[in-house]
Amino acid sequence: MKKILLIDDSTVMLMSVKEELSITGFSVETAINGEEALNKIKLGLKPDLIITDINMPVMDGISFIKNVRPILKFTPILVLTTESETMKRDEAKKAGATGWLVKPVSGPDLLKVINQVLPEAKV
Amino acid sequence: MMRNQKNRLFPAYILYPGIGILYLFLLAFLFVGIKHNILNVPILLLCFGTSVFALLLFIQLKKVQRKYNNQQKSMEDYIEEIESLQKERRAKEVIFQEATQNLVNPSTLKQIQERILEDYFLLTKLLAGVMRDLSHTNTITEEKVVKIINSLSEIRNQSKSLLSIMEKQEKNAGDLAEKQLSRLEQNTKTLRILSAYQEKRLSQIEDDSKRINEALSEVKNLTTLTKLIREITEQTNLLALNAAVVAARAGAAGKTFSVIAREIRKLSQQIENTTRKIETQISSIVSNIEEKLSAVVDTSRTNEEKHQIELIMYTLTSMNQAFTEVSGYFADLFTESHKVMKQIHQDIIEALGDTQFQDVLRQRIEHVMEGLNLMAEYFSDITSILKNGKQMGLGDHTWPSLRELIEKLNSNHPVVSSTSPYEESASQKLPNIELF
Repeated sequence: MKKILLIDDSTVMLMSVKEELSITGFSVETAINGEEALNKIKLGLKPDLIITDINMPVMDGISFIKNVRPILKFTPILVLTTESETMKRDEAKKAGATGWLVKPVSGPDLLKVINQVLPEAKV
Repeated sequence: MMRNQKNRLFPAYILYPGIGILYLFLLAFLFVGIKHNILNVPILLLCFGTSVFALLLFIQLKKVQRKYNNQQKSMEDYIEEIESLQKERRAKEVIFQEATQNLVNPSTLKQIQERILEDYFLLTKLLAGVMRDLSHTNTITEEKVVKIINSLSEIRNQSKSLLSIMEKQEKNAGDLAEKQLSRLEQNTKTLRILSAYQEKRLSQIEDDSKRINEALSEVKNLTTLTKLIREITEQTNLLALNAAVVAARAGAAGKTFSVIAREIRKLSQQIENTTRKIETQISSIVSNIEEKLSAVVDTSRTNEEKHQIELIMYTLTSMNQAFTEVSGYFADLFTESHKVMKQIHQDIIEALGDTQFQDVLRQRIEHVMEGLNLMAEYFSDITSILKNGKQMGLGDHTWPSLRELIEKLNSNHPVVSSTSPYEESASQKLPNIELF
């Protein structure tokens, strides 16, 4: 079972996306900000895919990507955010993000993207 | 024009006479040199070089002069423009002052100021109320959406559980059907054997019946024999009686014969008794066999049994068909249920995706709240200016810039930073999903 780390400060987002992914057969780990996620990874969590928000307290998504990239060099990281600004996209891309999704994203669309970045998952 | 003349770098009354004197001095020098015949090549070259240098210096000075004059002209234009604007502003101030003096007296202004301050107090209360409402809206929508997600999760769990039960039941039903079919096949086989046996038995009964009837007929024929024996015995008895009569007449000579005749009569009596017994037994055997045989060879009953067996076989076959049909229905039901469950899961996924609107809405509401906060700050600054009186006004830097506030708000917009809802933007819309 593929493992996904989901990072968002919104309870609704964490619950809804976690449920969507669980239905399709993923194991989902959650964190409410970049720092918590980073700590989990440092403690040994090895996700197959990371989905992160951008605007979060304590540590935002871009900083998280910058910090996590040296540890997880090849893990795909998708940004799921309300932001659609070009500058932020470029910043995330430069930091090492794999893709950019603007909220709200429908379940089938999200799964389609996951299939693209994680072809072995076959959901 | 006066300022223009005054501010020239090299005034004409210095520049032109200076150059003229220089040339005059050169001409005088040449004149003296020619007159006293003291001119030679170096002196002529010096003269020529000096004159060329003077000419170049003149040209250069003219250029500098022109450039300086142009700049001077521009500055003068600017100054004139500023003066014009100052004049205009002064005129407007005069008009404004006149208008203020004419239309609004200081007491009215004071009243307006007080009213604005009073309204500001109300406005802050209103804004606080609106903020509370918005915050409450966020809390409520989040609570409700969480509840919806929990319900969807519960539906998912229930459907999963139901599917699991159905899968288990399908397996049980499959096992049961297999067993039942095996039993039905076994029963059918047994019934076929029973039916074959029944057929065979019917045929045997008919044969046995024929043989028994033949034997019975032969047994019945024995009565004819017993009748004959009885007739012979009667005749013998009669002969013995006659012999006894004859022996009695013969006296002593017939004594022995009389004994023999008596013995013969005794013997014939015994034969008759035995014959009667045989007849009774034959009659009894015949009636007994007839009674038993009728029960055994009752073909109608046998046919009834056969019919019953066929009926059971038919019922079992029907049961088998019905059972297969029910198993088929059950399999269809399971397949359909599986499809429906899958669709339910898809719908749940869709619905869960839709709940993301709350996060977008929450961020928009938070942004509106930030805007209202900035507005409150803006009005607070304005009211403080109004409170502090004349020393602050439109020309002062303390007057807050609404444009700057809007720009600040736009830069923090969570949803569409590049295309602010407050300002039109010509920037191209980016795709909502993009893989790098």
